[in-house]
Amino acid sequence: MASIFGRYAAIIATVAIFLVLVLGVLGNNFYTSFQTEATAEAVNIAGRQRMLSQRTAKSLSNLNFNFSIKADISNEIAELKAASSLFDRSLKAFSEGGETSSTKSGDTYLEQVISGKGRKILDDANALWNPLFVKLSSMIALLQKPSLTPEEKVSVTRLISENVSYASININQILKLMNDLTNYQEGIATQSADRSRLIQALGIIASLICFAVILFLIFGQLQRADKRAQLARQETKKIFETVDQGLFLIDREFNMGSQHSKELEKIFSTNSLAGKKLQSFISDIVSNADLEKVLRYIKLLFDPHKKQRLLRDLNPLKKLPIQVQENGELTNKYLRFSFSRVETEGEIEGVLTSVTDISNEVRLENELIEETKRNEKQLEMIRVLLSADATMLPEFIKSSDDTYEKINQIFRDPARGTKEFKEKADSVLTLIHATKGESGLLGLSLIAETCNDIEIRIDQLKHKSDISGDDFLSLTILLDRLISTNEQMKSVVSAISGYSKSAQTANSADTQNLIKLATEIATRQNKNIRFSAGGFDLPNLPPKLRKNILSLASQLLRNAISHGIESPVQRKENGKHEVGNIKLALLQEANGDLVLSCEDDGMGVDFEKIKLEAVKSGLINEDDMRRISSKQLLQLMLNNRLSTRTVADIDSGRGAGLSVVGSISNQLNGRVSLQTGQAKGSKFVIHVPKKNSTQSAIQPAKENYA
Amino acid sequence: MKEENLRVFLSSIVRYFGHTSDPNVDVGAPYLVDEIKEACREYTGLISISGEYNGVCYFSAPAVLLKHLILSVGETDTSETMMLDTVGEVANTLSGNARRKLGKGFKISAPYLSKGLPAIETEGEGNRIYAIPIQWKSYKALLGVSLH
Amino acid sequence: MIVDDSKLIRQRIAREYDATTFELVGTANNGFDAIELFDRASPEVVTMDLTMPELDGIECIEQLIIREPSTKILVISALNDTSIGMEALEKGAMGFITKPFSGADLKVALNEIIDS
Repeated sequence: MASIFGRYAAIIATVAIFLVLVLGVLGNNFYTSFQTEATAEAVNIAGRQRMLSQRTAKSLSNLNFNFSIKADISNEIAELKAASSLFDRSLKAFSEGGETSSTKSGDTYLEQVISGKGRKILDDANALWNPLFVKLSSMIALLQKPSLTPEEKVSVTRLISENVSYASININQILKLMNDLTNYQEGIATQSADRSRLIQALGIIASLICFAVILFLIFGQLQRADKRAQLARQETKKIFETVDQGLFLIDREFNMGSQHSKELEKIFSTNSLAGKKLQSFISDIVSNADLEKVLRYIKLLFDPHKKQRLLRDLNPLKKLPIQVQENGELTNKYLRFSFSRVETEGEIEGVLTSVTDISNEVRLENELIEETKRNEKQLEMIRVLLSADATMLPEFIKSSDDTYEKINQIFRDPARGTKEFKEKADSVLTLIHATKGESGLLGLSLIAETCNDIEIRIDQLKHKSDISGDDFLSLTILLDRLISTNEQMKSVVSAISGYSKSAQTANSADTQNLIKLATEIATRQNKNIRFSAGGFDLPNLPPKLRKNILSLASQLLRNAISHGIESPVQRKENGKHEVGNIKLALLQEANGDLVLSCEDDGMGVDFEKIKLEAVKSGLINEDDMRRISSKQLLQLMLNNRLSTRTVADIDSGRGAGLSVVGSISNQLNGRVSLQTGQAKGSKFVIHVPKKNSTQSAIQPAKENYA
Repeated sequence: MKEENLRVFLSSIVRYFGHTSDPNVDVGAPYLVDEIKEACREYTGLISISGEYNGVCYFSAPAVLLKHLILSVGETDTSETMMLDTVGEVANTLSGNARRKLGKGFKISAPYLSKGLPAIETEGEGNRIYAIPIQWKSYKALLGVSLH
Repeated sequence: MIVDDSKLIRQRIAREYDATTFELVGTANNGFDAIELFDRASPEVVTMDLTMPELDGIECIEQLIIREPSTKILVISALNDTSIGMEALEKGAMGFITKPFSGADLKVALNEIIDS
């Protein structure tokens, strides 16, 4: 409001001046006309005075005549009275300002004449008139008396003659003065009329100037406004022409605004959009259900109670798939419609709609989804590969490789005509079907799916009446994909087997033998074990020493499986995992000493049982039994044949196991230690010093050990 | 490899021969090879592709086809230079069309022309070449495409 | 007041709203409980799920608006069908956000709701 006032201040001020001027001229007019009337009346009255002076003189002379002949004088008296008193009244009105009879009807007010010339006239007139009027009045008063005393009669006669003689001397002068008065009044009238005309003329000229200024200002303002509007229009037009979005306004009734961006025409391939209903031009690309939603959505946008930002999630046209003709081909595109309110002073005037081609975004998004899917499938493949039967996988890869090679060769074989191509397709079908079955069996769903795609394609192909080489394009692409998958699998498999191979190569023949032995014993004993052996690939170990170490290791292993590890059932009952763990390790210390350890998580060594056995065998007496330490007991076990097993078998039971360990260890100057706990397992550690090689050759124990 | 991309090459070669005296071209079943030399005829014009895509496309044809092609457009010079020029032109046409379809990210080299086995090896493991047999009149040519 | 049949969502909304601006009068896991709580506590702002057992969100909004037309209701729904969301707004809710939402989303939405 303030700004509007500011912008138009000059115009408003000028208009105000103009109005004041016009009012002034009008007021002047009104005042002048009033004034003119008044001066005209004064002129008339002054004129009347002339007439009255004459009439006074005339009726006085008539009265004198009739009086002298003694005729009736009542008429003359009345005439004289009327004329003289009116004259007197009017003269007084002129002199002092006041009422007098109008020349028309009623009374009128006369301004006192004050200007020098007028004043002089009036003063003169009064000086002449007043004595006459006094004497006339007393004469008339006496004459009107019904009867007169003789003195009065004398007085009347005297008065008459005095008056007549006065009048005859002075009336002409009075007449002249009245004439002057009339002229004087006329002069005033002319003067005031001239002044009023001048004022009027000046007023009109000022108003005209004012009006011109107003016109000039308004015109300038309009021109500036027009210029601004035109600039704004040009800007809008430029924006609408260059913006790469479809932009348009919709009103409450879903009518489109008069302007919209060029891009919109491109999007809808029409250029008559202005003023149309929204429904009419999007109904082609939007389903009826969506159209209804769009209209509801726009209605919500026009509801000021709703929060625009919190409506966005409901926009039904966030991703609208459409089909358009492009270079003669139908292509799929995606459009995004965004709606936002256009508000003016808090009123929602319309909804600005922008239409953007988001095909690229959607394509990228889809590709990302595809890529993720592919990655997931590959991950799944790796998982399958890891869990698949290790022997079957390489076999599958090999056989499918062969199949793919065959298929490629079938593709390559020259063929012409539908029949030959159909035969080609048939042979491919047979081959691919087998691969599909195998891959399905192995859970290689990626391959199975691709094979299935090929089958579907071939099926479609076979129903075609005319087949040529380019119908095979998609098949070749799928074959390419299968080969790629195989290549990926190969690299995964080789990475995995490379890993296990590296472990295997590290596994010396000795370790292999230990593993084999462990497997054999465990199978025989119906025990489940997980066995690991490490460090047996030590290079530069003298062959004899190596043989002894291996003997120690295999004895400890036997012992661990037979005596340490419980049966699966028992393990379960004890709350352990069915599978027992045995770890054999050989270490060479920095000083060259060897440390062989065998650790299991079995039942542990039951020293009490061994003590009883030792007593039974007569190795110790019952007293010893109570005093003997576990260390001593270990030595006892190492040096003697002791067995806690009741039934002998090929792995143990003859009590030879630990005594063999003891004897070899002794030969090597070794030191055996044992850590064990009830149900916690045991760990044998044999420390063999480097110096053992100086010892004499090993003498195998005489005992007949297994 | 996308089928639509492969079709771009295929259709442009079909169109190329469509402008000759005998517009009929037979397309054979495409097959895969690991090396260019596994799918080659006497003369080869090859374009390497870089940018958003990587790979090669080439046209390989026997001398007799090229001679016939030269004669069919009213030329009389069937020298070796001319034949090399012709395979190069076909390859150029192929890649030019592909560039128009696949966009600016599809960058192409000048054609590499060879008589006999091309001394070019495709780089990268597992990127096989699609060899598409083309038969024009009774002559057998090959279109090779590797794109990734 | 938070209305949602999922305890997880109720907890999440209760954790995320701006405690300096709002005071939680209570939560309800279906439309009937919501109306009962509304009558008792007459909250100014309500977050409303749409799919709930007993009495669904749309009917619940209708009831709340009948009781107090100036109630500010924010619909928080995982529904894909936008037309149901629109119906909720036509019935008197002020705004709509989609599940899943971030803490920031919720804060912005709630501030928007009370800013009128």
